[in-house]
Amino acid sequence: MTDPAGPDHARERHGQSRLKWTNLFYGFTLAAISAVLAFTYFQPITVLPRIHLAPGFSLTNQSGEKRTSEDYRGTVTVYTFSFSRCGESGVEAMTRMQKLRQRLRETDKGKMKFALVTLTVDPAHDTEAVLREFADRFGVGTEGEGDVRWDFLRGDPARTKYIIGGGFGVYFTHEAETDSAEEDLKITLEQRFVVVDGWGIIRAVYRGDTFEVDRVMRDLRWLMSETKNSKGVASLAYEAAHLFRCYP
Amino acid sequence: MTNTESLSASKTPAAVLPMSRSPAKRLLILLPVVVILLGGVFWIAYHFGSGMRFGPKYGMVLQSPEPAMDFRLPSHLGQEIALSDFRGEIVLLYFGYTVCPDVCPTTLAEVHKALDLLGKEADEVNCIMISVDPERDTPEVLAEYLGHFDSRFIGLVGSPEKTLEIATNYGIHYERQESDSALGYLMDHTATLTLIDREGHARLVFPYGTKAEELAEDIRYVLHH
Repeated sequence: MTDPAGPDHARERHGQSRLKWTNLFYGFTLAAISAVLAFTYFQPITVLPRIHLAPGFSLTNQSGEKRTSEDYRGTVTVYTFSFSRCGESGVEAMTRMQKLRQRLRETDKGKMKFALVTLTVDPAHDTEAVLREFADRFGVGTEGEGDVRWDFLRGDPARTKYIIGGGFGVYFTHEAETDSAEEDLKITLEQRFVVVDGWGIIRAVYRGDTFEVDRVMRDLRWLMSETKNSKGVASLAYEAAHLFRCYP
Repeated sequence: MTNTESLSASKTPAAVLPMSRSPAKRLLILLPVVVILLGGVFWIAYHFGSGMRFGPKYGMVLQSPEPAMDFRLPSHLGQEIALSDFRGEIVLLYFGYTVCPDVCPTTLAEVHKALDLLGKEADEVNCIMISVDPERDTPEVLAEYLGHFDSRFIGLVGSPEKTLEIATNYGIHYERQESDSALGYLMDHTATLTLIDREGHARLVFPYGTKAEELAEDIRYVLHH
């Protein structure tokens, strides 16, 4: 049966149909490319990269209780490294941790759990009693754990070196202390703060001068958002954010 | 065409002439179609096309810029083996011990099944177990133990200090627990499996309980990406 309008009309309709499919194909490709670029540029979802596995450990806290890395599974933990005889910069770092703890307590955390951990780089001197006193200076221990626990952990020197130096990649050296109390302690420590997620993966590392409470809270909120929303189909969007923004 | 004929054409009813659409209207019709098509392709790729996925589905993806810590330890084969010996292939790294009553046998059995599911592709996958109980796990004990699961498995055992250093770096906690059982003391240990890719980067972490099929699917993804 021939087209009543004639062969020219049939050819024209065929051409229009092909043009429609071509338009659809180019539109589809353009939309896909635009979506990827828009996702990368506008960053509707921001994630913290999954940097490295946090080290495993078994240590004791200021109350003499054993704490292992497994105890912090399911909890977002902020680690710092210090010692009771630290100077001004050490106290400043601990004060910032104290402020962070306060901010976390005031924040609606949903079902997420948070903890702070300070690992001593001077375990020979920082016994449990010394750590208790050290922790007390920053408001830990007197009012109970509250909902943001802060543990001060110690272990034997060899383990400490593996955990802090090897595992967290934090440089510190410890020379034998002198007899004179006036002499400066020969402990060199690079100031670092590390965020570890509930899976035991390091998600953020801050140097001493970049650890600002507001900035850390912003990053922790991203982590909270990812943990809360990254389920089902939405998890694909978060993995896409990791894929497009985090790969080295 | 005569003037009469051209005049006739211009008076053809609109219903016969093809409808013309403005560009805005065309976009309004095209856009939802494109979005639906995109979503459909995405859904199909995610569920049926492992080669088109964003990434592994079951393990936690790591994005470390640095290679995983290298180590060299005595193996159950009688010679020392280093992690870097497997550059260019995949390594599944596990920390366990031979007297482990349940967790280690379960995990190793799943890895064995996963390698079987991979078929020929398993030639590029190596399963290494580092013992967290060097006191009891000699190379000979490891050889016999691992032989029950898969002759391809490699057992490594080092000094207590070296084991501690390596395990700590891989996020593994382990600790001796005294027990009254006939097995003697037990070792509490983190039971995750770490996948190290061809370039030596720790790429995936699988929690205890990951099924063989899930392991195989993610390993296959890493083999091809």
